[in-house]
Amino acid sequence: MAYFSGNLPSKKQQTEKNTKEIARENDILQAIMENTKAKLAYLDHDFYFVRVNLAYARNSGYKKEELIGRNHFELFPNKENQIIFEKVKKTGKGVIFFRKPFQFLNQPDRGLTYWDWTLVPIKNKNGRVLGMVLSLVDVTNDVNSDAERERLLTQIEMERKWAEQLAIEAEERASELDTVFSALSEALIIYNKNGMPVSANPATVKLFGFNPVGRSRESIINLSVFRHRKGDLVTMDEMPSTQALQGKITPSKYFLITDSTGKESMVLVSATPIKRREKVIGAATVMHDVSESWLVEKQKDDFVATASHELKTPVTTIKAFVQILQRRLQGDKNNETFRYLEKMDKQLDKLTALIGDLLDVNRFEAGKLDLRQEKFDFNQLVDEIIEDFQRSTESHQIIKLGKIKGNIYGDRDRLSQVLINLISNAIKYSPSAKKVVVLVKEYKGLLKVAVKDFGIGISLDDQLKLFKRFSRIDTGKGERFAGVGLGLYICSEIIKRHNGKIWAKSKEGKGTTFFFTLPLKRRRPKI
Amino acid sequence: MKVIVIDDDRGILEVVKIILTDQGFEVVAVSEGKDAFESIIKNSPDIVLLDLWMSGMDGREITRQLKSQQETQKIPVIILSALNDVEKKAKEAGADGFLAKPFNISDLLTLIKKHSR
Repeated sequence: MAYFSGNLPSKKQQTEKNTKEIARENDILQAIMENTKAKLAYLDHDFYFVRVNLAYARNSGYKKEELIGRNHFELFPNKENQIIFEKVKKTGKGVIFFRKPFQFLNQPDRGLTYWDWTLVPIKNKNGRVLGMVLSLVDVTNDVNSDAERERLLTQIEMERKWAEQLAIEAEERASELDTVFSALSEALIIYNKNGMPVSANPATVKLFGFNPVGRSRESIINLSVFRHRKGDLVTMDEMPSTQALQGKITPSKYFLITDSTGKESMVLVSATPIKRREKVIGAATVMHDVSESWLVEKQKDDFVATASHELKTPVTTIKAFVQILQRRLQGDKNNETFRYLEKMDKQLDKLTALIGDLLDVNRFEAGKLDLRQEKFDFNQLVDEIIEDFQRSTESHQIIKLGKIKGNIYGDRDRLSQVLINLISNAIKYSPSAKKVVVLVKEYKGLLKVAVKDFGIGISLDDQLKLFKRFSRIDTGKGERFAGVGLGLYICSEIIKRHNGKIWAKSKEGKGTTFFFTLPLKRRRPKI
Repeated sequence: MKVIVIDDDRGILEVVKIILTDQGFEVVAVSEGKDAFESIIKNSPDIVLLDLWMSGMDGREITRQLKSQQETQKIPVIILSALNDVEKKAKEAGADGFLAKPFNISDLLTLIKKHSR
């Protein structure tokens, strides 16, 4: 043993030295393992954890001691990886992967993670695989930021293309719009949200005689005078653009515009709010020059007015002569000549009424019928009319039922026209009856009037067109009743203009009842 | 009682003249609106019956003229017209009364009686 003890280190010494060295190397290894960013694990050939560094343990979601001695695939089951590990064990060749995705089943919150990893086999002298070192580097952030960048780049590119497309389309639309804007015969003004005109087409300049862009709306209606058809000046509030700038749409209005040179144009003005995301950002006003048709309309009105005047003039003379003759006969009602003259006089009244009807229809159509709002006793009006009828009608008795108290507001002459029309119709269409009933009552704040006859009645078909212009009722028996079909149309227009309603109920062979209602206005309404 | 009738329709002038002469009135008929004022000054009538729509001269203008001058403003003016809205037009012009054509003789006489001085 001495032989060995002096020169050679004893076996024990050798072992101690080896143990020390191993321990030192072990420390170095440990230091390296713990100081690298890589997650390191040493597995035995059955993939049981032998050693892991702290980074590995932290990353794995287990403590070091929980990992050691446990099977890798028991803790982190993954078929694909298991195949790779088996292959490394079998072939003895290491593998390396970049950016390989992995999902921690024990840490689902982490989502998909990405790894650069190597698996290097540890072999003995005979090449037998004893175990393997797994080294993982987390590249999830890199991958994600790359992916994010790529996604962003793709999106930016897409948006750029989209914007380019939009720009092209917008340019096309703008050019189309510009063409329409310029070629439009209607005057078109675009206002910004403050009510300043920001663009106006050539038709506007032509209509106004100046370009309104940059001028206030006040100065526009002062520079080219805006008037209503009746002549009074249009106020700012009445301008459709004022309403439009408040987000409201108003019905089109007719205005008379006089430009600086004194040229008059009749325009139909309408305005629409321009909105973006429900917010009013401006308004567009369209002015349609209707001067020509207005002129034609005016000529027609003038013609009808002239015609009616010229027709009434000779009727006046004839009627006066008829009455002079009657007076000369001293009102002897038994005198045959007197009675003929009386008939002539009545026919002249009918003719006058017809001329009046034609004029009225024309005025209704032109919207020019001005109703008066006067206080009067409706009850008394009905009595007077019935009295007048009774004086000249022997065939029928006109019976009045009911009454209303106090005065009402309305156009006495026009309402009287309605009553006369309905009663004379009732008489006309009940030639073999002996009476007509006029019912007047107050009903739920309404004045309700019914005129009932016991005559031929009206078929359902005819009932539908009763109040239409030029509608005439056929009896179906070849009988013809005189009239041009304007009376009921005029009645319905008058009642409608009084905010009332008019309708009829009828049974053929039994008779017809005409009804109308009017809101009972006891006070002068504000107009 | 002296009445001046101004109307450019000769038929009407004739018939009104007959009606009023029958009543024993003195009637001056004027067929030209432009002669109206002069005739009224000259004749100093008790009442004027005036048409509205005449060739060359508007009855409203004549009324305004009559009502604006001291020597004529007290003469009652009655408008006789076949135009619509006679009442409104007569009032606007400042006339004392109105009658729509065609009229009943009795209404004309009542009106004259009511307005004559």
